[in-house]
Amino acid sequence: MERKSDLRRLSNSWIGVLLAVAAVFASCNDQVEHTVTYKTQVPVYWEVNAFRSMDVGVKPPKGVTETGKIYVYDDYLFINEPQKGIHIVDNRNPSDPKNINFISVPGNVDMAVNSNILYADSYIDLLAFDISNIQDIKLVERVEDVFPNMFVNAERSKFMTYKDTVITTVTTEDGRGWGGPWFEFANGSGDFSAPNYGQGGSMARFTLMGGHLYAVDDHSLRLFDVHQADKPQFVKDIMLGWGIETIFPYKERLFIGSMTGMHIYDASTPSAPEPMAVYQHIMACDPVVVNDNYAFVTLRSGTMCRLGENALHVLDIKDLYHPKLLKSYPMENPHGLGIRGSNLYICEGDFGLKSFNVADVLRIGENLLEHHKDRSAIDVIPAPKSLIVTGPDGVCQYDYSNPAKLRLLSIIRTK
Amino acid sequence: MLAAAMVGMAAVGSPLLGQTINYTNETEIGVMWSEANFFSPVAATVQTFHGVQFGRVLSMGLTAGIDEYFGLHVVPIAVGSRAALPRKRVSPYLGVEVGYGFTWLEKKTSGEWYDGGTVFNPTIGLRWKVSDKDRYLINIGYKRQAVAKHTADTVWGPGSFQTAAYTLNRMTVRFGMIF
Repeated sequence: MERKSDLRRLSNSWIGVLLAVAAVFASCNDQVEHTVTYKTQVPVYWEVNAFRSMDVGVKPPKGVTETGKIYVYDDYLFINEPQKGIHIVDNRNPSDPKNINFISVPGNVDMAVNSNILYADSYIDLLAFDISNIQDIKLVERVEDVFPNMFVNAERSKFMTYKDTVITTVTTEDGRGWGGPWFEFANGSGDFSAPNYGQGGSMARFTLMGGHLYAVDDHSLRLFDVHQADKPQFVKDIMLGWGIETIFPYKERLFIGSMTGMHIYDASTPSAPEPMAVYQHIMACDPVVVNDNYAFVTLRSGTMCRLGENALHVLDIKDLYHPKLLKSYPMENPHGLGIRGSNLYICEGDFGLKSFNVADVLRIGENLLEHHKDRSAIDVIPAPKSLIVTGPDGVCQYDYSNPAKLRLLSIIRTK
Repeated sequence: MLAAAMVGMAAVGSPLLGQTINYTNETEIGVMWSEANFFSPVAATVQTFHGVQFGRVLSMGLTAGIDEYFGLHVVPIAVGSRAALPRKRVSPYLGVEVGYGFTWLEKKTSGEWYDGGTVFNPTIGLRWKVSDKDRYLINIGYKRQAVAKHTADTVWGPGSFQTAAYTLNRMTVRFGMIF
């Protein structure tokens, strides 16, 4: 009897201990630490005087660390290193391209060459380099303040650009007031600042036609008279709307891709291009290429164009004043594209490079020739000697004499 | 490894350092609670401990289980130990598990996946005998489970990457049997 009550006492006291422990642990809280890494653009402010005193000119060749726009002139390949300058590559033999030198051009994103004069943007200025002797390139002209959309004040003493940046944010929270971290992110709340700089990109896009250099920025078309190649003269500005991205010249016409549609301009009077038509579509990023009868427009959804679809639109442009959508083909994530004869090459971003026969524009989907998935592809130039494809891995060149079977000739790898 | 070696030794019932060592096991089911929580405030847990009993006081072995957090499944595998204050019918004891919680049961996609993490679970409880064969136990404890969720190409755009490193702090209450 006594032993039984001892047992009861013992168990009672331990049950008391258990309850005390339970009371302590009952207030346990879950915790979480969120780490988010994303690419965005942050604004960078420059003093005009400080920027103009920066070093411009030829440097010894160096490795390509990032590929931007590419440009082909004679046997030379120009590769833009975004915001830094231009690599010049001797491309006489596409199987063995040779890096010759590097032109340091702060703020450069685009270029064009006219009669041995290389035009390159440098933030707010347009620079002209004489490249007739590739070993002795000279800056021959600086046209100042021609990209004024970057200025942040009326005195034009300061301007702003955006710099690609990888941002990592870390926040912690416990389960109190839990709405779920994914829910919070989707609503852009929490401690993170949303990447809202994306649309501010100021990349000019250049093309030459009829003795004029045409440069588009995000909302206008700027004209320069380059009849005297080494003395580019700013002519005027044509407002186009917003979200302007690419410009493609074809037989005295300019085809301008924007986030909302394609503008067609008659440039038969090169100094006074006249609008012919605007083909509008849903918001998407959209480069364009054309041939005699059709325009090929790729629409891409992405950071800047979230609402967009991923598709190839084929437009009938026999009547340039009334472009008509003939057919839309679903794509994966199309970026740049190029056309040569009846072959269309589409860069599908991380999904690689696709080639199509487009002789029958209503059956493009059935006429995929090849799909190279091994490398990301961003932009393509069907150049006379090779098909030149850029991507994050570098610049690849293919022999495309047999369009059905591309043969890799060389890669200039990014380092 | 050490625990596995001990299980092997227990299987042959060999004496060690003058003590009798025997195979022992516990199978438990219970709930886990957190006042401020992710996933769900109440989670379910089952686990089974298999080890060797050194004398009447100490046992060591391996513990495996499944924790259902309702939104996340974790498979904890741990080294476990028990130290009892032996009494005739009701014996208080302390237990501890230290190991790793795996997320094998979670679906893995290219855009979303989990990584497991360390688990630590001290407990205090009572064992009691109903007859010579049936022994039961109840325990209360604290479980700390680390786990990480990774998400690629999030709402922050292509190339973005997000990791949520959770530390799940839970009170545990378990009921079990010793076979």
